[in-house]
Amino acid sequence: MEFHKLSALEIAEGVKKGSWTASEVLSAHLDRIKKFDGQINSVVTLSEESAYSDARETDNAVSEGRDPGPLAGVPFLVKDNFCTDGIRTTCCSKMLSDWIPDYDATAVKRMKDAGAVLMGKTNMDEFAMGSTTESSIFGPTLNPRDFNRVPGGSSGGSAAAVAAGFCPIALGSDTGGSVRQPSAFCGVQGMKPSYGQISRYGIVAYASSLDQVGPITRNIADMAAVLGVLAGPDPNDTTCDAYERPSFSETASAGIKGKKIAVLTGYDAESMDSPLIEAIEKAVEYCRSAGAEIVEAKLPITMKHAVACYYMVALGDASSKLACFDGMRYGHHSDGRSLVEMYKRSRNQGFGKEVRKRILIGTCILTRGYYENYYVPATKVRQMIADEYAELFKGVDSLICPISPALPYKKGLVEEDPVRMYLGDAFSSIANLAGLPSISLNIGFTEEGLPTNVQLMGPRFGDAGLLALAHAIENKAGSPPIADIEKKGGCRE
Amino acid sequence: MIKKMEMDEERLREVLGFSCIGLPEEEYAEVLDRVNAVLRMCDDMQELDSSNVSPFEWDVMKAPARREDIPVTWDGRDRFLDQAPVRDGDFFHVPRIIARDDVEMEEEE
Repeated sequence: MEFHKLSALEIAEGVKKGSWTASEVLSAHLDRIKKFDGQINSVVTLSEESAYSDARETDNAVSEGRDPGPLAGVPFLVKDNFCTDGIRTTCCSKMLSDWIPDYDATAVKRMKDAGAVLMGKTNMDEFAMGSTTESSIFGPTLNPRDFNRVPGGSSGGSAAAVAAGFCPIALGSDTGGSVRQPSAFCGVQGMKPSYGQISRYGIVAYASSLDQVGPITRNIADMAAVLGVLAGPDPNDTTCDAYERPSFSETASAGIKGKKIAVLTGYDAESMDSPLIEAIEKAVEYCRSAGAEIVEAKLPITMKHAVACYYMVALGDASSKLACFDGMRYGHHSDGRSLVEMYKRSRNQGFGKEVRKRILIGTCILTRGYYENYYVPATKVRQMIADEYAELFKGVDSLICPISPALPYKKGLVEEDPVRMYLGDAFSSIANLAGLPSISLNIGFTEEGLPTNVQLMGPRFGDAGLLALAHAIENKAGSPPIADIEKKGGCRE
Repeated sequence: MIKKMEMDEERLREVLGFSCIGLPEEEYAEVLDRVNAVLRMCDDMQELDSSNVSPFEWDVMKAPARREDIPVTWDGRDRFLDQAPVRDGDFFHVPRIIARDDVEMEEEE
């Protein structure tokens, strides 16, 4: 049985029926990781012992007639900034290279409670600051669709692992596109739910007013099932909304007949890679043929100012969030003759180059003069962007637009032109600024085998309707296949 | 009033102090270029009339969810202390606040 080709829901159904055991499924996936991950470096820590223990617990539940949960025996991986009880959580930084939390993030706990089996942790840009997964202390992750290209980031390890068939579900965190852009680059489906949909308790923060947990899968039915498990209020995260959630799995198959869908216009389409424009045209056609009405939308404030606004807010937030890494309570420590010297040496040695630079820019933004002239205007522009979207969604159900202006980058571009990397977040960061749900949906592949995609956005807490749209388009476009990683050979030491 | 600003080396030194980050002298120019490129990217934003707009705030922050204030017994003290870079019995060992000169310093990386 080729378990790695099954969806999460197919695996769970087979485990519940007794067609196969959770332990068998786990063993097959771990073997695949050990055999092929040496080529792409998507997994940084495997937790085999605890995984087998959890799988046996699921198998015992099935054999004893107890409910093993909706994701019974489904193996999953999480980004290395999710706290995992007894498993190191490094944020792929020297700062936390030996840190072992003594609790699970709420998202991890809910997956386990649903019967899913945690196999380990995935690679990421250090402290989630990047869009290529090249700044990890464990070395870069490569794109499983093309080893000469980056997998995107910062959740590049999670997206690459799902694309490579190492797991049907991986979790990432999304501050400005960090789940959706790597999903787009690796040819899988990625979602950033509404702000307040999923608890962030136990996630090492980058910028709290923007961060959200997001699932990465190979099809929308799996995504809806995962969202159903993860969503809901949590007393440990007061930003998590208490509204009554619908059944995401049921609403995902509701169809889009009669829905009004806007297509974004008024951006510089000529500067984009042409297959991505063609992907939008295809998605629009699929929507029309599924019975939706298509209209055009312009968002002038958003398109001109979103990326600048995003970097002001994100870097300002980050500089204050990362102040807690002082070398005293946990993390990297270096001695010093004075308290300040100890802070400086610990932070200098613990943080990598990109993180140090982002902290510096963020600190600069929050100092006198810059705060009044840059940070405060950015928070007002953020409100104007949120208002622009609230107005749009009074008249339409969803929006289709690009997620990235470019196909997966060649390796090393971030060193050459970091500001160009920032501009790559122009479309993806909007959903974080306004707190909207957003899905990066695969639409197919170019002749060279590079994935093409679109971004779908909906009103805040309109996650269920957005899944229905994604499902309707996926029904026409097909769900993406597993990357052809076997033919490229390779093994892990 | 629109005020476009650039960062210079003197201000960079000040920011390095605030952020408790050190930077080799040879990287100053690169970091200044990067900071100023980001600031220039944001200059256009100041031209928007936002005089009647309030700064963004999440609705949940206006009325955050509350939870019962119930004491919980927690037995993770030793596990937390085990994560401390320097542990001294039942305490985190922290450096003196007043500078001292009796520590042999390792070489800066």
